[in-house]
Amino acid sequence: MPPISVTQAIAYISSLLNEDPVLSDVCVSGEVSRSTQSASGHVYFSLKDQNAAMDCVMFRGGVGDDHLVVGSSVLAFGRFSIYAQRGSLQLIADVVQPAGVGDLQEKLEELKKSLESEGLFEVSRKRQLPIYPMKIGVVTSEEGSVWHDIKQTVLHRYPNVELVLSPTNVQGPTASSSIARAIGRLDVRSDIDVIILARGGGSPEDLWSFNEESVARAIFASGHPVITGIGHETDWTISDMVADFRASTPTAAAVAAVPDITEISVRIQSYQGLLIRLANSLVNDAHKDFDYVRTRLESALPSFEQMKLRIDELANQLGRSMRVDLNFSTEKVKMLTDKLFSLGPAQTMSRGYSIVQNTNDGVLVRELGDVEPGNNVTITVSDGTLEATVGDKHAN
Amino acid sequence: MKEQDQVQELTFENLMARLEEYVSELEKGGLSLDKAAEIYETGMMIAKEAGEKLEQAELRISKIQSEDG
Repeated sequence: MPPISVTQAIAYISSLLNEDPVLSDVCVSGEVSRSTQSASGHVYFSLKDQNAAMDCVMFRGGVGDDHLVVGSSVLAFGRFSIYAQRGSLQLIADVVQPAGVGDLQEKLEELKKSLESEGLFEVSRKRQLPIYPMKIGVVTSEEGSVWHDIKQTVLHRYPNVELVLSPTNVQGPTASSSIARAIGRLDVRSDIDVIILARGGGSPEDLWSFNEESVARAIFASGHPVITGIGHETDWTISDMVADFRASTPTAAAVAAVPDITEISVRIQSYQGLLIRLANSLVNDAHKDFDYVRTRLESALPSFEQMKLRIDELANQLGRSMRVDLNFSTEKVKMLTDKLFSLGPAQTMSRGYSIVQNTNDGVLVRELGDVEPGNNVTITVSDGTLEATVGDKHAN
Repeated sequence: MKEQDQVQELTFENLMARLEEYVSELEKGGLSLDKAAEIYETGMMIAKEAGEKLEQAELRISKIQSEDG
């Protein structure tokens, strides 16, 4: 095998370390034997046990650097790499936890099992969240950004509520009992619709209170549905498992607790539109029904026009026959009267005519030849007789 | 007027529930015209009230005193 350079050798070892499934993602348990922080914020430390020691580094931004106190037992999570300049092996730690956490993890698993067997995680007991809550209880620290974020989120999303803060510690040895009491203080109020239990992100120890049995039982006992928003997306605590709804962060919990006001406004408007459309179509249908019934009614009834015509016709007929009768009677009376009148002379005489008779023989004088001058004549007028003598005769 | 007072006393949740109920009742059909008109009128009143409630909404904040102080 030809010789290789130091750089090549180190690069080769580095590649092996990177590819190794154990060494590229490892947890090392040991006692901190040295710890120095550089000006840039990186922490250089050593871990040892009875037989061995190794160099480690936690770059700035790593989690748990405050546990890197000489003499303390820790768990360091990270990967091995070669520091090329010196060719030395080192552990690059991303997260450091106190070693006791391992025991805690075991206890946590036990608690999970026992609570699960009691039914605290039952999906069937998880309650529906109210769609339009009026009062939302918030269990969190009054200090810090979580309370502020929840207020801001609700303010912008659905300001139609009251937020009732039930303040609590969210970290430290007394936190779990403080949280349980804060939940209890909301639970006794009947006007609360839903409870948000929230805490910002942190290390597993920071969130530990939310794994405590007292908190789990307080959530379980709550008469109001509980929404959890604890830490980040990847953090799952026992509180999350007991809660009626688990949101990944405090802000997500606030979003889950309230509807979106814009969405509801749009929905109300669409309901209004629907009411108008439905009512219109009902009225249109009713119009059609009415028209149909009217048409049927009209065709069922005799036509008024025709009835009117018929009445007119009857009236005319009646009128005609009556006039005929009347004319007939009038004419007849007149004829008879005329006849009567013409038979008697009295009517003629009353108009100035008179009857002249020869007094000797009573013969009517109709023409000049019927009398001679010197004859006596009797003249009958309307109311009596005159005796006269004819003097002379003149023809017309 | 009496109906309007009743509507104003409803919670937002009840307003929305009644609005949804009215819309589905109208959708179902088979109502007398009088009943439909009544539902329409009250439904519109409710929708207006709900809209106004949202417009006037102001976030309220209160705090429970804890025994810890």
